[in-house]
Amino acid sequence: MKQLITNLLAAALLLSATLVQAGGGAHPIPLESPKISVLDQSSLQRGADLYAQYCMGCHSMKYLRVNRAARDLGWSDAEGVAHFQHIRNGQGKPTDMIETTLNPLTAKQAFGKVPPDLSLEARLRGTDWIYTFLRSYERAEDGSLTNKLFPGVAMPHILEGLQNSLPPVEFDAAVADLVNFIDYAAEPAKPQRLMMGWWVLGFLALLIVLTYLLKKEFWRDVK
Amino acid sequence: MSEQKNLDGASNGRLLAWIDERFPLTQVWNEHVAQYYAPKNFNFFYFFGALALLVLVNQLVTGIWLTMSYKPDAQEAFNSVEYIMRDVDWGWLIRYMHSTGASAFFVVIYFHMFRGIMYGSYQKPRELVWIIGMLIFLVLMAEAFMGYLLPWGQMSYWGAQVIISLFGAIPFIGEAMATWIRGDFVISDVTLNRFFALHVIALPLVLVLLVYLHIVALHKVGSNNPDGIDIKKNKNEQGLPKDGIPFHPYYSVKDMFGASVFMFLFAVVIFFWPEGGGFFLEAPNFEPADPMKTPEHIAPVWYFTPFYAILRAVPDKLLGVIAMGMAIMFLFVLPWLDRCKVRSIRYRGWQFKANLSLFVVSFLVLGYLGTQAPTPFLTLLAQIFTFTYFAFFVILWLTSPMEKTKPLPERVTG
Amino acid sequence: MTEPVNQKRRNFLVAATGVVGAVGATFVAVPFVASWKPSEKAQAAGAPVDVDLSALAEGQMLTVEWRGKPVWVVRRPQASVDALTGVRDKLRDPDSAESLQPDFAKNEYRSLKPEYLVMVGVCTHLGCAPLYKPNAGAISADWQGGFFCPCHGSRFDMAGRVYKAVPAPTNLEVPPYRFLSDTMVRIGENEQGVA
Repeated sequence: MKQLITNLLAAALLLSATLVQAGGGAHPIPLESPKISVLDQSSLQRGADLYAQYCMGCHSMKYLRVNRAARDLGWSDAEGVAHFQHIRNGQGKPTDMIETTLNPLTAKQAFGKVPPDLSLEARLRGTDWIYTFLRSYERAEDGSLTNKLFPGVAMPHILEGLQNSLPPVEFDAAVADLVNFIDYAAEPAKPQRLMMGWWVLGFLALLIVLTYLLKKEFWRDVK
Repeated sequence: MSEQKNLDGASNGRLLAWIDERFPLTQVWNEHVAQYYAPKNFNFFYFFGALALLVLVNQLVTGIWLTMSYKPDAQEAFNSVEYIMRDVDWGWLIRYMHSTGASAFFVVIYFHMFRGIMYGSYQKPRELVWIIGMLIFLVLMAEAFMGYLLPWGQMSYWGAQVIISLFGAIPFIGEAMATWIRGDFVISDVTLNRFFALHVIALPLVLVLLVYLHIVALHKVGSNNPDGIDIKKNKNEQGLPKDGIPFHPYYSVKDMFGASVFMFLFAVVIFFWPEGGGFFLEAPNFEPADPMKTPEHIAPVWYFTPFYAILRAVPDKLLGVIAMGMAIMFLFVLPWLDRCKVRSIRYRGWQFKANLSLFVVSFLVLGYLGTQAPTPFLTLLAQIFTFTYFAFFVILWLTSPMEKTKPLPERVTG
Repeated sequence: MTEPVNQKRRNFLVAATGVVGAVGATFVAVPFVASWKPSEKAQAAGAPVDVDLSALAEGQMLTVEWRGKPVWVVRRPQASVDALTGVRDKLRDPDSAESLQPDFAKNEYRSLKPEYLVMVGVCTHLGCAPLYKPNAGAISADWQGGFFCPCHGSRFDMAGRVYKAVPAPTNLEVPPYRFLSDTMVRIGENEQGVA
C-alpha cells in the first residue's frame, strides 16, 4: 500500500516535470519575464500612458471602460478621459470603452490585417510573450525590420523612437510597465483578486484549525 | 449538532412532532445521518465522497448565478463571459468558482473512483453503488463537455467540433448523427443553444437524481472500509456494529475538517492560480470562436485527456472511438471482472498490487500524452499505455481467482 | 482508562466552529447577493444625459430617456407658473413633503428655474406614462393644465403635483439635474455629482 503511493507520487512528479518542460518550447527565441505586478499602481499608470500614446492609435481594448480603468489606476473620471485622450478623437466620455478611431478598412489596406483588440492579449499570449515580442525588433543595416519572436509580423516597430531615446534598462522598464497595463486590462479584477486572496486563506486557515480541534475532540470517544 | 439534541429522545419539540406525523423527518435523519453506522477506520481516501457533494453544490449555485448574466447566443456568448468577468459585481469570483470547480470535480471524482478500486468497494454487495457511480461519471463528462462550449472561445469551439465529429465514425448513420447533434452543418448558434439547455437544466437534474440514488444504494448496503471486511458481522448486545460509529457527529465533524482543507486549496487556485497553468482555463479560449481558423494545437481539458490519448493511439477512426468507449465501459463491469474474494488491496496478492500500479501509471501517462501534440514517438508511447490500460482489466479477470491473499482480520485495523 | 468527556470544551468548540462557519457562510453569500446590483454596464448605460433646450419653444415639452425611463423637460409660460399658487387647496402634497425630488426642487414650481420643469414621466400610482395636457379645459371643465394619467385617471398640475381624490399617492418624481449653460441641462447629475 505504502509502496503503491510512493510509486504513484514518483510517477506524478516525473509527469509534472515533463509538463513544465513542455510548456517552454515552441517559440523561436526563449521568452523573458518582466518583473511586474498589477498591484503597482504607478507602473500601471505609466503603462496606460504608454498604451495611449503608442498603441491606441491602432489597437482597441473594447472590453475596458475608461471609468473602470481610471478607478483602478487611481485617477478621477476626468483624468481618465484625459489620459486616454484619443477616444472618439477627444470627444470621449468616462463611460466609453477604450476603442481606437482607426478605421478597420484603412487598417486592412495599410497593414494587410486589422490590428487585434488587446483586451485579452495578456491571457491569450501571456505577459512574457508580449514583453519579449516588443523587445525583439531588430533593424538590419539595410534598414529592413525583423522581429525575432514573430518573423513577418505586420506590426511596425512602433516603440523604435522610444527605444532609441532611452538607455536599454529604462526602455525595458517602460515596456514592462506597458505589459503590466495590458495584463491589468486582460483581467481588471486581478488586483482585487490578489489582495482578497490572503484574507480568504487566512479565514480558511482559522476554520481548518477549529474543525481539526473539533474533530479531535469528538473522536476521543472512538476507541 | 444542536439538531441531535432536539431529534433524540423525548425532548422532541412540538413542531418536530407535528412534522413527524406528516413526514418522516426524524426517521430519515436517524437512518442516514445520526444512526448511520460507518466503519470507524476510514482514511484519507474517504473524504472524497463528501467533497464531491460539496463541489456539486458549488457548481449548482455558481452555475445558476452565471446563467443570470450569460447569453447563449453565438454573437453574444463570448462578450457575456467578459461582461461577467468585468462588469458584474463579483462576477469574476463566481465564474472562477465555476471554472475551477469543474476541474476540482474531476480531481475529487478520480480520487473517489481510485479509492473504490483500491479497496474493492465495487464488490458484492455494492455493485449497484458502483454502477450508479459510473453513470454519474458518464453524465459528469457530458456535463463538462457541454459546459465547455459555452464560453464560445476557440478551444470551446474546436474541442466540440472534434468530439462531435467522433460520432461521424459510426458506420452508415455517423455523419447524419453528427449533423443531428449539431443541428447544423458546423457547430453553430443552434448547437450552442441546445448545449446550454442540456448543461444548465437537463443534465444537472439527472446528476442530482443519480447522486441521490448513489447514496440510497450505499446506505442500503453500508459503507466499505480500507480493510474491506464487513463490520455488520461483529455486533454488540444492542445489535450495533462494534467497529461502526454514527456518521453524525463523528464523520460530520471529520468531513467538515476535510472540507475546510479542500476549500483552502480551492481558494489558493481561485485567487492565485485561476488558469491552473493553462489546464483549468486554456489560453486559446480567450479568443472568440472563429470557424475559419483552427488553433495550432487542440487538446481537450485535462480531465478528458486519458481517453483522448486512447482515441488517438488507435490508427483507425472507428476503432479509436470504440476503444475510447470501451475504456469507460470496462470500468462499468469491474465488479464482475474482479473475481477475488478479498476486497482490500491490503490483503490481496502481489498480482493486484502490480496490476493496479500499472493501471494508475497508464492513466496518468495517457493523461499527459493527451495534452501533447502527437509525434511518432509519443503515439507509440500512447499505444503502449493504451495496451496496459486495457491489460489491467484482462489481467484482473485472469489473476483475481488465484491471487494469494493474506488472512483477513476479525476486526478493522487502524 | 477512558478519560471523561470534557463537555465544556466540546460545547465551546462546537459553538466556536458554528460561529466561524456562520461568518464564513455570510462571506460566501456576499458575492451572490452583490452580483444582483446594477452592473458597471448598466451604470454606464444609466449615465447622465445632456439635453439641448435652445429649440424648445414656450409651452412645449420634450422627452429624453434616462436610465430607461422617460424624462420630460417642459418650458412653462410665465402664466402657468403664476397659476401654480391658485391650485394649492386642491392638491394632496402641495409642498412636496412626501414626494421624491432633489432639495433644490422642493418648492412651489418644483424645479431649479421656474421656466423649465424637469420630471420623470412615470405615474407614481402604477407606473403608466401620464399625458401632457397644457390647455385649460382639456380633460374636464375645471382643468387648469397639467398632466393626466390615462390608466387610472390620476391628475397632476403644471409642476407635477398630484391632485386630491385621485389614485396616485405622491407628486411626480424630479430627477437630479443641473444646468451646464442657459440652454444645456444635464439630467442625472447634481451640482454635487452623479446621482
